[in-house]
Amino acid sequence: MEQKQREDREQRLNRIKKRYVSRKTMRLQLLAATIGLVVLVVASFAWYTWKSRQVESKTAEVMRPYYLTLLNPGEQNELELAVGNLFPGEKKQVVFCVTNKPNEENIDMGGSDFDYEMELIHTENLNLTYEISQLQKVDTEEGADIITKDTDKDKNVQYWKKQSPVLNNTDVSNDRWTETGVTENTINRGKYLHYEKTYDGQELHLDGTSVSSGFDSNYFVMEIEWKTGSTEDFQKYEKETDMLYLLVKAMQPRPQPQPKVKDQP
Amino acid sequence: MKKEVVISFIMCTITIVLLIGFTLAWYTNASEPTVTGLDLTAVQETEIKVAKEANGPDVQTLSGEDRYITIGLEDLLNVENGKFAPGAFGSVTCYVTPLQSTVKGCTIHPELIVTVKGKNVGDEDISISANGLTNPPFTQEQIDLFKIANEHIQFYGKGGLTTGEMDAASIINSTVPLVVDLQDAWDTTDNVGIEKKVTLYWKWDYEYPFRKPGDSGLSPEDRKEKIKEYDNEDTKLGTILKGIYFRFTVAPVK
Repeated sequence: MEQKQREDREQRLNRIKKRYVSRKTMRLQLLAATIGLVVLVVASFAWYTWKSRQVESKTAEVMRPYYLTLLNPGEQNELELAVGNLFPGEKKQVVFCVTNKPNEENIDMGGSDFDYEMELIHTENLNLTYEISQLQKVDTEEGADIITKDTDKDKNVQYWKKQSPVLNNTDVSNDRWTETGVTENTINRGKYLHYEKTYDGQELHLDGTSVSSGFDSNYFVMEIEWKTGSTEDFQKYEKETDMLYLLVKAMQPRPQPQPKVKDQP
Repeated sequence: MKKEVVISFIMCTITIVLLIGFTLAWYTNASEPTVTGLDLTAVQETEIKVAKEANGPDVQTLSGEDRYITIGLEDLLNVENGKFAPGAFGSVTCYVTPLQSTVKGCTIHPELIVTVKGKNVGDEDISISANGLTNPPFTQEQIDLFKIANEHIQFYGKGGLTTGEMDAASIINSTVPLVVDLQDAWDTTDNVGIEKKVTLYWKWDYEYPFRKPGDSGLSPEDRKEKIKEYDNEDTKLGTILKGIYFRFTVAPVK
């Protein structure tokens, strides 16, 4: 009996020992595997980072394109270039504004300082002359050469004084005809008049960042006149209508190096 | 039985984790991904040192604004406050020093990364890089925009080597990942500590440069179309892109 009890006790002790050894072995295996995994990961990263170096520049903004548009003299709406009917001896005036003031859709554009150029293109069916003069806004009707107002209910009346002389232009028709492939036989190929200078010989220019408002506007009047008097012979006219286009183009300058920077290859 | 099941499960889990670890290490070696924000001070020894100035500290030890390299925008007139614009150009200079005797050259991989506004107001800006194109959350428009930017802004160098200074070989290629190869740039068998100056140049051509194969044979009308298309692409870049920065990865060659 006592021997059986001793044997039972020994068997229990042996089972307990085996369980303990098994758990200890499992813990050792786990520890070994974890160490191996950590060494593997660290070795991978260390091996990779030994390979190369990286250096970065700071993020620099991209300059937005210059924003330029044609507006009515009230600067609220886009220019409506409509002359309407014209009779011999009559002169009509169209006042327009060239500005870098952004609209709601392009609110984060505009406001840069830049030169610009204008181009007036017109067909030559009628015997008309075209002149563009620069305008200066004045406060009262006294001394004003031109008065403009919104077409509805005489709102937003503005007074303008014409600067003298009229703007000089360059006839670039031959260049444009060559570019567009028109020939002498092309009907209504148009005449192209190019403007770069103000009335006093300066570059056509809009300020932006240099003014407190952040944008600038220039005002002009286009005068279209049928100079021939009432004795005009209408029989010689084949067409009764002329088309008129007005373009403005911003001149974004090519970046130049500071004087101290040596030439780049 | 239960014990054996538990042991098997644990060993299986460890095996899977090790497999993933090996795969990750192999993948990172194969694809050269970006590594940022790592603290390398614990690494015992590296193979090369890259500094921003002569005898300067390794760029990886710098932090804050000091870690950025200049690219020359501040030297340009007619460009707003150091901004990118068509016609902009500049140079990037770094100083490379082998730290192991087995290093006899290096490669430099310049990259262009562009940023655009997030989709919704208040979202963070989105950065688009060549690596990101393979696994993108980007729209097709953003991918196309990135490719246009890589066409318009290019890296290049002067050919030849001069004593004490290296100029990257002339490479102008924006359609494939650009790697500037400066193998065998050091003269001796033991180049440890011999610092060399490396200068790379970049430019954003003001007008279409007519540099691609076939450009020389274009008719006058096709040339005008190319110029017009390039100008329109410049306008698109200026309108949509918010920012640009460069990344240069310098790797040793043994």
